[in-house]
Amino acid sequence: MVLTIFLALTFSFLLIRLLPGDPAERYYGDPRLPIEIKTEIKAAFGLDKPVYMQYFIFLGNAVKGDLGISYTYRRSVVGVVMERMPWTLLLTTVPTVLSMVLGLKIGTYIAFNRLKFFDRFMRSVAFALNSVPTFWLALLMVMGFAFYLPIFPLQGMIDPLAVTMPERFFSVLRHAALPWITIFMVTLPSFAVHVRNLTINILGEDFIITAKAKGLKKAQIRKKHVLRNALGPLFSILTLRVAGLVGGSVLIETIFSWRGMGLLVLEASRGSDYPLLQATVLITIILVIVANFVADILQAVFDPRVRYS
Amino acid sequence: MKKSLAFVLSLLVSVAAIASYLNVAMIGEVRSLNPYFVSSSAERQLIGYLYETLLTTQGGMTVGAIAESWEVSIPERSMTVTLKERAFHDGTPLTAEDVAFSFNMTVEKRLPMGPLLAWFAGAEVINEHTVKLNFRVLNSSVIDMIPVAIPIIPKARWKDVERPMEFSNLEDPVGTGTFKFSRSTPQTVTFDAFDKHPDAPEYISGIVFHLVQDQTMGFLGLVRGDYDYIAWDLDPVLATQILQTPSRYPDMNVAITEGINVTSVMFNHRREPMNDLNFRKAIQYAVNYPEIIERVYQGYASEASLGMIPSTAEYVYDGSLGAPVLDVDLARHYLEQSDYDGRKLRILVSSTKEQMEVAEYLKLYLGRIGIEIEVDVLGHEAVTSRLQSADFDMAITGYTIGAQPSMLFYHMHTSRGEIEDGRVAGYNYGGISIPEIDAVLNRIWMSFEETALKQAFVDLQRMIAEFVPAVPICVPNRVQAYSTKRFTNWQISDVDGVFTSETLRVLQPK
Repeated sequence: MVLTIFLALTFSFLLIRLLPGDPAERYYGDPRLPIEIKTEIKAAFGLDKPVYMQYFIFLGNAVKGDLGISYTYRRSVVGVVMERMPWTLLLTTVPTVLSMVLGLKIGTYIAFNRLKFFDRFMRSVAFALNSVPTFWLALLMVMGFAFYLPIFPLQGMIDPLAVTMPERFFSVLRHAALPWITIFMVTLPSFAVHVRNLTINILGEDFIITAKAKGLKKAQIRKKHVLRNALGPLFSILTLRVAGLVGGSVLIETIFSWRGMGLLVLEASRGSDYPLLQATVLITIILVIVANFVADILQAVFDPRVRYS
Repeated sequence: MKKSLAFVLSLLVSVAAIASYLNVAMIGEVRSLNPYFVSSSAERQLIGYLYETLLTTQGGMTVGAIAESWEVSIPERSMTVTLKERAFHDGTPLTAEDVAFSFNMTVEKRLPMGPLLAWFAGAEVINEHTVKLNFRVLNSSVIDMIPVAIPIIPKARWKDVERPMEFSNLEDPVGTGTFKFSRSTPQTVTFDAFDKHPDAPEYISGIVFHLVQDQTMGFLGLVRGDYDYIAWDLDPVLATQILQTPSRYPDMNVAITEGINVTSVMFNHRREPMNDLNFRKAIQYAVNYPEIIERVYQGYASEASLGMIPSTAEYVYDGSLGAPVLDVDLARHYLEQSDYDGRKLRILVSSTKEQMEVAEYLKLYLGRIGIEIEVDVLGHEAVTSRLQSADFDMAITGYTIGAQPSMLFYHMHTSRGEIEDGRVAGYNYGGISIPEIDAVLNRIWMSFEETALKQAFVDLQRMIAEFVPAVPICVPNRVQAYSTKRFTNWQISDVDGVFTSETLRVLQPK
């Protein structure tokens, strides 16, 4: 894990240096500035040093948890990222967890009733929703349920005039509802179909035939043998989703003006804000590594074969 | 009973308070409210309400903001400013001490404020209401720029800020502007009207700025009534729709006013044939200006002046020069006289809808007289990078000179086009180097008296018309959309548009 994080640090440093645009210029932003001041600014951010020196300084600081000062926010990048991360997690985890729970139920149900009406219907819906670009679906949702039928707020995260804790809590819920529904609509059918396919494979295994031969009931087979075996691969899929939490939420965050990690990455790359971009890339990579680690543990908990190997 | 009545009354009061907040949608981010470091147009607008400067510009001339009066001493290279009575948002009075501190901090902390550090020597307090600014170099640009750029901050709050370059100032920014900071959420910033300011709003409680990411969503918010004003220019197609079908947009209005940005063809004078006057004139006569205005801008643009400066800079604008016109025969004649050898030239454009369309029309017009061009469409950052490294033949660009025409010095003076370390030193990306234009720009630089300054600008516009350093195409109008659903009495100024200090002062909740 340490080696992976080290590689992630190195790649995030190098890749970002390949982007066009001089970050120092972005900082002072005015070509009329005397050359000596430009030099001073570059020195203040260590941008006057050779790239390999900048790399070692970056590594040294990263170990101490200091990922630098944002050129555009004028404060610690870790602070900025930590402010944004909970909003993205709130936006993405709720519908993802919900669609996972419901997807498990629906997926196993349609697997046991394969090629029947509900199975065909769910697969068609999943196919249709996966073909629609997420931003388009989000726009349709906004037009339908925030504009023509003004049930939800059009965009934003919280009412500016919400002051007390309950007011703020319900305001966030109200603002999050439509993006949640949008994400849920995209993730649930695909998750359910995934579970269905996994279940169908498991249903063909010898231990299921044995279970049936032992006279176990359908519900018991589903709960004890199918679900338990399906959970392992599902955790792997979930891990892959964690990687998409940041990147995948850019469009949703843009349409709903949801100030999360996706928009932060976009902003940092547009503004040539190297420290901020490095931090967002790095934290995303670390998140994926940690999620992988957790998924491995959970897989071992649910699947004895993994534990013994 | 009393409690219930009090509750109902407080509810009514709070509803009234909510109702009198103006809701404004803005594109972009507010990452900091540090007035010395502005990194987005949203931040610039917000800081403009919180902080004031000594001077400001109006119609192309410099006028007093916090400064009651000022006197320039050429031999002493100084400017003595008498201050108006002002108070900071925390109630403390503004003194010369605060003004001197605001100016001196830029030098002491080496803040990146344009050319200021090279020109400014320091500020000294003369008395409680008078401050003297000393300069290393004195020219009219110094007066136009430095007292207009430095925000006045309270010394008591900033004196302990060790590293102002790393200070976001988001907690409790305090200035002397017409609005004071109230609170913020991740996507809104709320300002309250500052009653102690003489230009404070009379009827509204404050402004809630909503930071949106997408113009379509902002527009929908305006139609829905979530916002009262959107702080960006409306797409001309949408503006036409609103004006042609008012019944679909019952509370919406569009204010069309003069623009400050001159869309132009910029030439790289360092390369042939762009350094040839005949070639530049050939292009000037080849363009069908009314067609571009009609087709690209849906009619929401004005003809540009041959002298470049738009009419919003009313004090110095010379309307007698007229606009460039289409004359294909004359264009061909000038092309024959030029050094153009028939090779394909490239035109650099930013990936905005209007710029791309203008470039396509140019390609068509220039093709008619025998100039072959290829359009290079790039993102804004990449275009700037290519301009800064002088790596282009021609480019479509906007000269923002309507508010501050003296900026032409930076766009057209030879010294601002020199290349240092492979980059253009100033904003003269095209490397314009025309001695006659330099001479008039130098005169403007040293004109401190109003009549002399106006005359110098008139002469400059004549020189630009004669030497065609760039071809002005048109001046896109400002197309601002606002809603009268909750507020009335919007004031529209030909020069400043609709969202002005005058509008904010007199705007009334319905």
